[in-house]
Amino acid sequence: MRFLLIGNPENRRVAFFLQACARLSLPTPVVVSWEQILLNEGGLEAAAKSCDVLRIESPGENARVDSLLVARGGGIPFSEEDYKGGRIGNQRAWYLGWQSVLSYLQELLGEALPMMNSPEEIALMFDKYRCQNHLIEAGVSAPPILGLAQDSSEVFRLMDECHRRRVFVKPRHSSSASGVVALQRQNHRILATTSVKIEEGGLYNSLRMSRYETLQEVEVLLDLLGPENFFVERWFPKAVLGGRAVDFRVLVISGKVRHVVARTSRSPITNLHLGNARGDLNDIKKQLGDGVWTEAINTCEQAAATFPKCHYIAVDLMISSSMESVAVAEVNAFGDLLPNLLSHGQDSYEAELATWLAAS
Amino acid sequence: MIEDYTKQWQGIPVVPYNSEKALECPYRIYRLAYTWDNEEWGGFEVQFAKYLQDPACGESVGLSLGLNNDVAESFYADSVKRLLENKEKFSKLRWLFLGEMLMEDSEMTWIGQGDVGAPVLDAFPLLEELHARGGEGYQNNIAFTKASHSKLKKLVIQTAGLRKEAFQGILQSDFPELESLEIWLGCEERDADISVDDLRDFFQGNPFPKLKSLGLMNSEITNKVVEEIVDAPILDQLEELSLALGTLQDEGAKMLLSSEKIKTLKKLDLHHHYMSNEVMAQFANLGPVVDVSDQEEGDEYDGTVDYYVAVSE
Repeated sequence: MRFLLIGNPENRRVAFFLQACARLSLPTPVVVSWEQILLNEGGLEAAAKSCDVLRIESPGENARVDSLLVARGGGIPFSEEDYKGGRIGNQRAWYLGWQSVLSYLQELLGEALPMMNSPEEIALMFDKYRCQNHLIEAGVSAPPILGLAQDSSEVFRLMDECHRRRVFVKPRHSSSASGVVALQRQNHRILATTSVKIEEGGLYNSLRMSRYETLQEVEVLLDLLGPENFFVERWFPKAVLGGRAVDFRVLVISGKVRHVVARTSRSPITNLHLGNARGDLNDIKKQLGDGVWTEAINTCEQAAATFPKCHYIAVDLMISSSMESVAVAEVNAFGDLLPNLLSHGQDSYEAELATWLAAS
Repeated sequence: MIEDYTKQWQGIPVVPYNSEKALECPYRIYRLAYTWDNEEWGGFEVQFAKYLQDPACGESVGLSLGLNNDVAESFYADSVKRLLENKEKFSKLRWLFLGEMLMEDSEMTWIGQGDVGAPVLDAFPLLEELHARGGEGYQNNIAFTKASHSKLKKLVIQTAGLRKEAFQGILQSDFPELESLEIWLGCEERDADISVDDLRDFFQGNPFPKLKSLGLMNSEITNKVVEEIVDAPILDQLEELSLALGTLQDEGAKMLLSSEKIKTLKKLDLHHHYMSNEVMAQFANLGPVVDVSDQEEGDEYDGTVDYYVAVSE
């Protein structure tokens, strides 16, 4: 069985997948780059003819590909300097470009090849607002959404209408925790915790958490983020163990929970990229107790089942502060980059392949 | 850092209150708190009324009051005042926690507090342990009117901005049985205004005859606290000292290391500090069991380095 792999060839995700294929004695996959596809250089159909199954890999971490996606979505790509500096913006254009190339793949290859992960469902996962509604409608526990907003006044109005003074403001389209704002308000105080840095001329991603404590700063922050579209959801108070908030990255493969990483943080945003730490999973599980952990596993598998055309998805799962219930923070199409983490002796890529082979 | 909710007190489990279930007092202690899992909460008032109606309420040996609402600014008015109004139903109370919230429930400095001194202590004559957390801005900081209490063994005040009046209220109180005192001093930004002189008076003339364990934590002036305490008479009676969650640097640490009195302690808690590796290592052979975990680094910005307390928000 030969895979057609669409990805950024220089990226370690591609290398890991190729290595996993080799370990399982599969023929070397044919790799077609996103750049090639976005530049309409052709070759995809021919490649498809020599392969048996398609795997779509992340287009991320490649400046050229990001620019091409933004341009395809009708945006003006950032300068190299802005891009490298982590400037925030173009999320909507990026998404529209991404959605467009995914539908192109669906059209071109939908009939020709079985797909390990479906372009339509990947697109759904990249629209976080639509995706969260999709989960909630399917009965999967996820924080209720107060609504969509485009500036600070709309955020405050939603908070007032719903009588919520602690919320998460999330960009509709973004990767990792980029642009997420944990927002709290009471009579004379306001606090926004986020990895977004306000600098002259715009917003930038930072590896450190910033706290904005004046109304004026928070308004600037939200008004600059707003045009990219965000939605407001109820703050889900996460379990705190040893003074750190905990959540989990859970990889579900072929319907079953496999690789799990516990992430811990002193801030409300527990994303691994932001200098937070991996927690000791066994120790954390022990502290949580079997009941809520079983519910966590079930919820992840339930979430995965709502994406029947994806062989694997990664679920970010939260457990409530009282440790009585669980909720899905988000699902990720490309959340399987979990180096050095084994489940039944297999890394994530091997596990995806082995279960795929067993089922076909 | 505030690690976790209280799990037990003297072997009695502390569990979340669920108004659907009958109270199991005195074999359980309950934490009344609004959480994700009780959307039907309806406010502290509603839940507390149910608690009061339960026939076992009068057997409560302990009580923890957590998040009262979506935000905690009215905590004292919502929760503590109601508890005090119903004090006769809690005549057996020995353990009380006012404001038991973690960062995911509420930022600590957003918990509206009030007077946790005489009004609370007078209401519960059997109380052995009182914990209070929070203090929100100048008006809702923790206050402490001086009190007399013949049973109180442990007093814990966790805040980011302790006021001088509250500190003096504690010191002027008559607590003949007090063995353990934990006070968080906080930082100026949150209205802390305790001076070195206030501390010196306390260290030189400690009013609590049975005090064995003292914590002066979450302090912006840890090095100065050290300077005043290393040779002070109060150390002669202490077995445990905590300067944790504060801003201890090498200069303060060296004074601790060269103090004869510090060597006689059983435990010294310094976790969350800004010591260098070299100085930190010298505590290993000092004598007392020393906690030097949670080494922090100062925050450099525009050429100056800031040292933060663990909980300032």
